[in-house]
Parts: sequence; structure tokens; C-alpha cells
Amino acid sequence: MKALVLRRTALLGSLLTLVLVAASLLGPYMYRRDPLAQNLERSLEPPSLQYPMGTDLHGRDLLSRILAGGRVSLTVAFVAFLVSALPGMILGLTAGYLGGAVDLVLSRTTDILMTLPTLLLAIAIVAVLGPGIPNLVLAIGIAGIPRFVRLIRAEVIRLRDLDFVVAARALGATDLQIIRRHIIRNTLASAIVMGSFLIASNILTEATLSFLGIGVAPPTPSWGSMIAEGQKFLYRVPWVSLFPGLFIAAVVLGVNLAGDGLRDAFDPRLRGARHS
Amino acid sequence: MARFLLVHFLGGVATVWGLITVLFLLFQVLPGDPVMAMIDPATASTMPESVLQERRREFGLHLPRWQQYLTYLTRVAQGDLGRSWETREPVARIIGRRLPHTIALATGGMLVAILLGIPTGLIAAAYRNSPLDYAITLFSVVWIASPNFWLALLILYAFAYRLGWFPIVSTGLEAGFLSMLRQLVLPSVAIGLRTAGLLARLTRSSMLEVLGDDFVRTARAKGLGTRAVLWKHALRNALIPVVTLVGVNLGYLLGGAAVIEIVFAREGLGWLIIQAIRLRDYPTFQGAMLMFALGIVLVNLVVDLLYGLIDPRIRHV
Repeated sequence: MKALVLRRTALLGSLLTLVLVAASLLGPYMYRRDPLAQNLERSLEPPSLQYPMGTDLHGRDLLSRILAGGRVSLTVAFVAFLVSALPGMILGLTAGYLGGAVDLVLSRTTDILMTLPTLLLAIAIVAVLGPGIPNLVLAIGIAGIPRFVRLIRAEVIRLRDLDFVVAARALGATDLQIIRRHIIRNTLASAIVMGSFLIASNILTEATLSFLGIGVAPPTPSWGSMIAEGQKFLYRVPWVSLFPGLFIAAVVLGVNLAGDGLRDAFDPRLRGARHS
Repeated sequence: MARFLLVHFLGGVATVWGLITVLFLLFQVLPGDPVMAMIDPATASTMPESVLQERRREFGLHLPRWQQYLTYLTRVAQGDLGRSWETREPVARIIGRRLPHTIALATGGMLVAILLGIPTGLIAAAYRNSPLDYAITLFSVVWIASPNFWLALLILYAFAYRLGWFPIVSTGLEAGFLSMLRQLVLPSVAIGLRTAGLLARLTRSSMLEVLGDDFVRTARAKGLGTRAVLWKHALRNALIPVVTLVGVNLGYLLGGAAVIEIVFAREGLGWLIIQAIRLRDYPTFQGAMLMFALGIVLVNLVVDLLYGLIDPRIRHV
């Protein structure tokens, strides 16, 4: 019964994610309305047949802006995940496999960085790097590296002394072969699970930074900056902030549920355990 | 117990030192001249070289790196965080003025999270797989997925604007204690809901796990009533991971304060950081960041101690 419910929510989450990602990537081709085209006579209109989600201050169609913004937000979140994953994997492998002083330095640094919430770390890096989408990606990505290092390191330490690795070593496999054939492959599952949760949290971080005005800059739409724009007329036309937020919540919910499902699929022992 | 305290205290000091170093390095390793980076590009070309030099000197940027690091470390250790480039006021004094707002908000958020999250989690565990359980789970995952600043706007719209139960803008500390508390309610809910969702989910799964443990069966077998088993045996053990999550999330709450303070116009530390970035006020930014880090380390220390109180097994490690 419980497994069934879990599987159903995981399926629902994947479906939700898929629909929203597809809408953001393909939407602009099907719903062909320029997200940047202004029509000042139709400023701040409520949702209608012509404007399914209403218009913003400049009379721009909100639905087309949300679709275009989704493209920006999701791309930033995904690329930032790659930026965390590659160095995170390499550093985690190094620390876990080599052990000793290298491990000590790497894992202490990781511990220290992880005392700062990802959001604050990203804010600090963005402040130093300056504005712009590439810097935003870099900041969110770097802020996520410690989480990867910690996870991969723990996995590698667990794997390092397992029988099949010892056997491979006894058969004369070199360290590089062992890492490539045995260790990396066995860390992939948890890296993918971690990745899905990281992407969800990246979407929230990007939205927060853009909301604060230190992320994606106008006129490029992003979900976070759209909510910030709507905040100015919240009491008159609340939907301008409402709709982009709904999309954020829906996609993060979808990715989280899908991530839960992935984790259970890869490792049935963890079924029902919660991420924090 | 004394050794336990000492070990954790030293660990905290080491982490603070590490964080100071990381914050120092962050501005060193990343490319560019921090003084130039903090100056508006539009005015940078018109700014006389002597002013740039003076600012570099203020940060000791003309010294070798290791010397810069030592100077920075000594100054921070003495509580000297420099002066704001914007107002020329000592950064430590600005922080001292802003800090109470942020502490109040983080505490309020934690209270909301604990008072909402743990009871609903227990209810969900007690009535597992019932519609009530599903409803609690649904709300929890929605709180977890929603951006807190967006929730804040919705809450403002509904409870301050539509219903008029709470003031829309905060008026600061002068307005009196009760009005201050009233202003704290909505921001605390906005910042605490996500953690409440996480706590509810963790409490539920932790409680269910503990109820399946041997010692619970033993307690039942020796004839204890359901209530005694639930509240005395199961709850205390189920709460151990929950306390950890509370500690981890206090850091998150402090970070979230940056956004929530802006939505609710509360003049706290988070707002200070964002303001400092916008104004390119480098010393204020660095000092406020450090204060956040210090706060989080302190909180973690307290959580570790609490952890020792709840679970005596840990004290002797």
C-alpha cells in the first residue's frame, strides 16, 4: 500500500516536472506571443481569453513571459547543477579515495562552507562576481559544490573497502581503473538523486536572487524578477505575482517528488526516509 | 560534560576562524580589484586615482596578501569591522542596531515551524494513511516547494490587506512591545512555513520508525499503556533527528531573513546585506556576512549541546 502511494506520487512528480519543462522549452514556439512586446493601453489587465494570465505594467502578456521566464530559470538551475556536479564529483572522489591529509583539508573546508546556507553563499559570490546570467549560474553552482563533495566522499569511503573493489585491486587493477569502472559507476545513483534535489533548490535560489534584484536582470523575464515586478501593485492586481510563484512551486514540488521516487528506486533501503 | 562542552566550543572557534578565512579568500581569489568591483562602473572613470588609492589603503590592499590576512584577522578579533563606505559609521555599530530585528524574526520563524510542524507531524503519524495524514503531507510538501518571499506576498495580501488583521508595513522598535509582536507574526509565518513542512515530514517518518523499534515493543509487553509508550518512550527518541533538523534550519531561517526582511520592510541584517550589495558598500557587506556566519556557528553549538541533553549517549563520545 505504502509503496504504491509512493510510486504514484513519484510518477505524478515526474509528470508535473515534464509538463512544466516541456511548456517552458516548447511553449514559446506554440504560444507565439512576444514576451517583450509592450502594449501600454492594456496595462495590468486581469486574466481574460485574450490574456490567459493577464498583463503586466507594460501591457506585456504574462503567460508568454512566464513561459520565457521558465526557460531562463530552469536553464540557470540545470547548468548551475552541472557546475556543482563536475568539481564536486572530482573533489569528492579525491577526498574519499586518497584519504589522509588531502581528505582532511577538503572535508574541513566543506564543513566550514556548509555552515553557511546555500542562499547566503550564493549571495556572497554574486556580490563579488557582479551581475549577469553567467555569473549567476557560476554563483549558484559554486555554492552547491560542498554538498556534492560531502555526498560523493561518503559514498566513496563506503565503496572503497567493499569486497568487489578489493577483488579488483587483487586482480591488478590500477587506481584509475578502479575509480573509473567501479567507484564512479556506483556513486552515480546517489549523485543523480542529489542532483534532482539540488536542481529544485537551485530553482528557488535563482528565484530568490532575481527577486532581490541581484540575479536575472530585466527586461529578460525570470520567475523571481516577475514576482518582484508584481510586488509593486500587489494590492491592486495580485495575479502578476501569483502566477509566476505558482509555476515555481509546481516545478519544485514536481522535481522533489520525482527525486523521492528516484531515491526509492535506486535504493529500496531508504524507502520512506526523508531528505532535509 | 565539561570535556563535551570544551570540545564543541573549540570546534566552534575553529569553524569561525575557517569562515573568516573563507570570506577573506573569497574576495582575494575571485578575479578583479575589489575596490573597482565595488565602485559603480559609471563613476569609476571619473573617480580620482587618489580616492581609489585611499580605499585600497583602507583595506590594506597595498600590502602583501599574508599581511592583509593577518591584519584582517586581528581587526576582526578585536571587533573592528571597519567603517561603512556609505555612511562612514562603524560597521559593528550598524550591525548592533540591525541584529535584534533579525534575531526576533528568526526566533519567530522557528517558533512557527516548531509549533506547527511537530504537532502536525505527530498527528500524521498517529493517523497514518488517513485523509488527515494525506492533507498534512500535502500542505507540508507545498510549503517546502514554495519560495518563501512568494508565500510572504500571499500572506501579506490575504491577512494584512484583505482581512486587515495585521499591519502592512513595520514601524520599527519604537512602537512598543505589543505592536512589535503583532508586526512579527506575518513575517514569522512566511519564513517558518517551509521549515514547518520539513519538520512535519521528518517528525512523521521518525515517529513511525521508532514505533517499530524493539524498545517500544518491550514497553508495550511490560504492560505500559499506549499513552505512556507514545509520549515517554517513542516521542523522546523520535525527536532526536528532529532537533538536528531544527538546528540545521535555524541557519536556513537566518539566510531566508534576507528576503523576508525586504518584503516586510524590516530593517534587519538581511536587508543590510542586500542594501550593501546594491550600494557597493564593501565593508558593511563583509561585516554583515561575517555576523551571519557567527550566528549560525553559535546556533549549531547550542544545538549540539541540546542534542547532548536529549540523548545522553552522545555526551560521552
